[in-house]
Amino acid sequence: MNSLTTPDAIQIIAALLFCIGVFGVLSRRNLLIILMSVELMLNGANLSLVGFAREFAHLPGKSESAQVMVLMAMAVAAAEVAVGLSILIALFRHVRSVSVDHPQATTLRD
Amino acid sequence: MFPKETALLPAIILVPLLGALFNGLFGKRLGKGVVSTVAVATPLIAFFFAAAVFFGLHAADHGPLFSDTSVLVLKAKEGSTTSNLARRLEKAERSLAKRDDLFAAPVVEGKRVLRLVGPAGLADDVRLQTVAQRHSLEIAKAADAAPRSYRYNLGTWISVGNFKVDFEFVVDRLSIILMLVITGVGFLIHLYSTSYMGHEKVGTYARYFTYLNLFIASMLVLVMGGNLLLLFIGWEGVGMCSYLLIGFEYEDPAKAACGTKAFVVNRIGDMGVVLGMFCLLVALSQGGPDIPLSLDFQHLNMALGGKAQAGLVGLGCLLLFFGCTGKSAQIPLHLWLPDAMAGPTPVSALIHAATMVTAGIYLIARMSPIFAGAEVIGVPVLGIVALVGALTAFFAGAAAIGQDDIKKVLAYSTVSQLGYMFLGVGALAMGAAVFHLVTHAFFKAVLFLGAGAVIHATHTQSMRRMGGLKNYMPTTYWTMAVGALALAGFPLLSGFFSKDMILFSALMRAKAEGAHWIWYGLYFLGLGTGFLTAVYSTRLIGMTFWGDYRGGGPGGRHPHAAPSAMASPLFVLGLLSIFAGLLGLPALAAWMKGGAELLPHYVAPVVAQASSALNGYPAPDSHIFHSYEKAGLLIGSMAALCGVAVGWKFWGSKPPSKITWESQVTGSLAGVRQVLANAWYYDEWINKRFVQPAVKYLSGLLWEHVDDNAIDRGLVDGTGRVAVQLSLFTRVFQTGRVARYAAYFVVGAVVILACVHLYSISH
Repeated sequence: MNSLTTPDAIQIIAALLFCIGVFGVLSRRNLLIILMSVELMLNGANLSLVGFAREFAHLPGKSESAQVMVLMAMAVAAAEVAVGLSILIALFRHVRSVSVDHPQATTLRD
Repeated sequence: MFPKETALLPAIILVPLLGALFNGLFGKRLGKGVVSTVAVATPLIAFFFAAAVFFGLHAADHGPLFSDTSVLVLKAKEGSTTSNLARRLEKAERSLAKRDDLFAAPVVEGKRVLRLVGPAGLADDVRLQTVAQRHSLEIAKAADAAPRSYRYNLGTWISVGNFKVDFEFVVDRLSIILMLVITGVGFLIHLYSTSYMGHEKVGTYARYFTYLNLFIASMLVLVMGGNLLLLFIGWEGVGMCSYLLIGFEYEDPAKAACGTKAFVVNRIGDMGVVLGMFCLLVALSQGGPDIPLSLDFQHLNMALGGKAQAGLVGLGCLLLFFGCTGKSAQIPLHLWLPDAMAGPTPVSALIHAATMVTAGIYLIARMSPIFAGAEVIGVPVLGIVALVGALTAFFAGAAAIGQDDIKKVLAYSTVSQLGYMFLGVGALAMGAAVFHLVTHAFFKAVLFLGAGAVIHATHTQSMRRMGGLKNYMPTTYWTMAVGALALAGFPLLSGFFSKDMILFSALMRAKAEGAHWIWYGLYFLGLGTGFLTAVYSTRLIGMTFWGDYRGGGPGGRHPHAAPSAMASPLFVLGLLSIFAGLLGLPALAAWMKGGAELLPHYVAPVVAQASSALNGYPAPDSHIFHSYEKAGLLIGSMAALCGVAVGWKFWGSKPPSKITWESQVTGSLAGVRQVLANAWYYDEWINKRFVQPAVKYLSGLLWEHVDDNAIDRGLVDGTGRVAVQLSLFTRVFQTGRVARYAAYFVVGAVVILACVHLYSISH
């Protein structure tokens, strides 16, 4: 077995992916990058799930439900990206910027 | 084999309760006719049910004996094989189980014996077997001697650890007598009320009968409750009905205040009952972890009674007695009863004379095995009970002489007679006390109802404005005269026998206690009270009925005779006042050849007995017993006759006219009269010493600390301050920067995950 596909390695990679996503969300100003980072977080979680599904493949019922959940998350993520990007475009047309620190963007809190 | 009488127990309570519910909800719309029919019918139905239960008990007492079952068990064991034996034991147990409705003591004991005998028999140990057999037969014989009772368990109410309270009704000889009095006298008073309250508006009329039916139901819960907590429900229920009915005409602030006073004084006493209950529970729990903490009377009496008990049990009994002084209007809490006369007169007859106020006597009689042995710092609790009773009887009896309000006379008389009952209870003569309770219910009810008829006719309560009513309302006169003579203890009327029996038992107690001066003192206090009773009874009749009519004035109407709905209960109760004394007359039992039991003896097996609790008590058929009995009767009748004579001299031969009234008592007697009219100034003293300082202190406390500091500054201002501070703090976080929000989110998620993780590894 390749050392990269041991259960531990898969979980570590998934955690790294998730943390990179978190870092991206926290550090970047560009909304587009932030959305991409969110995707990274989602995929980190998905990877973790399929990793566990593989690890517990011998337990009937468990692994299938994990895989179904991942497929479900992918579908929801696709829909969410569609909505998120269109909101982003609408925002860009409104303030001519995609920076979260743009003075007009911060007024959105009201 | 489930006796039908058992099923009647909840019905007895349910019928008046449903009556109250019906009248309360629909009475106003259905009119007076429906209301009075329902209200009068429900206590009557309950009375018939109670009578059925009474006869059922009587039949059970003379029915198949417990030892039959026991013999069956023994036969099962004789020379049988082991498998055979087990089968027969099971059969015997089944036949025992069918008797669960009867008084539990023999059955519980029998089951215990069965368990004991069962394994022993199977073990083939001949010696153990014989011991167990003999034991079981002895218990069976004892059980045959014990009177039966009915139990009906509606289910478990509270169950915490080994503390368990059932919603259980128990009827035995003591409670059935009270049930008959409550429903019987209750029915007569309901009937009387239909006329007495007849001129009220229909809404008021329905409200009145709702309360009255509710009272009957509560009082039945009180006497039928199988445990102390259920009794307490009834105890509070009757207190509430009493409050509602005293302040019935609540538009009058003075009457509403009387209701409040009664309520508050009763609450002070109820605190004693609750604390007493706690004490007994703690005392039970000290018996070991296996003892079930049940407030069931039988359990309490068996676990705590029958032996000398100091400490917690003594304290508990004293606290319970404090509760009784509240409900039964004894010193120091007697001051509410005279004020309770603000209620309608039939209410005074039913609640504040015949039934509710006797609850204290019932409670002590019910728990008499515990009370008999209870001591507080070396003083027997029953001694305190007797002392309080005798003092109350004397002082209230004297105060009754000074009253001019006809209902106040009767109120102080009631306090005094209740004192008699407590003297009897304290002298361990529970049967005599219950006997007096019954006769008192009859003659005091007739006096109150008669007074109601008089008030109804003259529109005043002051006896100064009555007089000469003999000619206007002869029925009322004759029935009230009989009631007053019974109250005075006039020979051969009911009050004579019951009062004499109490005095006699106090005398016997004095003898048994080695001629202790205190018991002789109590006896003479009781005797003096008998004299005072005769004086004020005669005075009551004299001022009301003899001489010339002093009311009315120019153009005033003449008083009218009582209508038939009011007169018929007077007749019945008057007859009962004459003949109820026969219930305790030894000659009657001899005549009936053992078919009937005297009332005091009927109750005796279910309460603690003087003879069993004391050494040196004269045997009931000894020479000394009889000579004391005769002497007691003679002295008692002398006291009563002297009292009647004195009353006759002052108020009978030449009744005062309206003008000469004030000048009639002069000199030193005027001062005495003043003191008596104010009931020894006890109310004023309590007011000055306790109520006013308490009110002053409490109002200061409430105003300064509770209202000003806690409510105004703390709650009202505090709410605003907290909101401002909180928003000043939280606004820092609302920056509008998405990245920072995301950071909060991540930090929060990490903290939650850390908590979950820490929790999972720590468990």
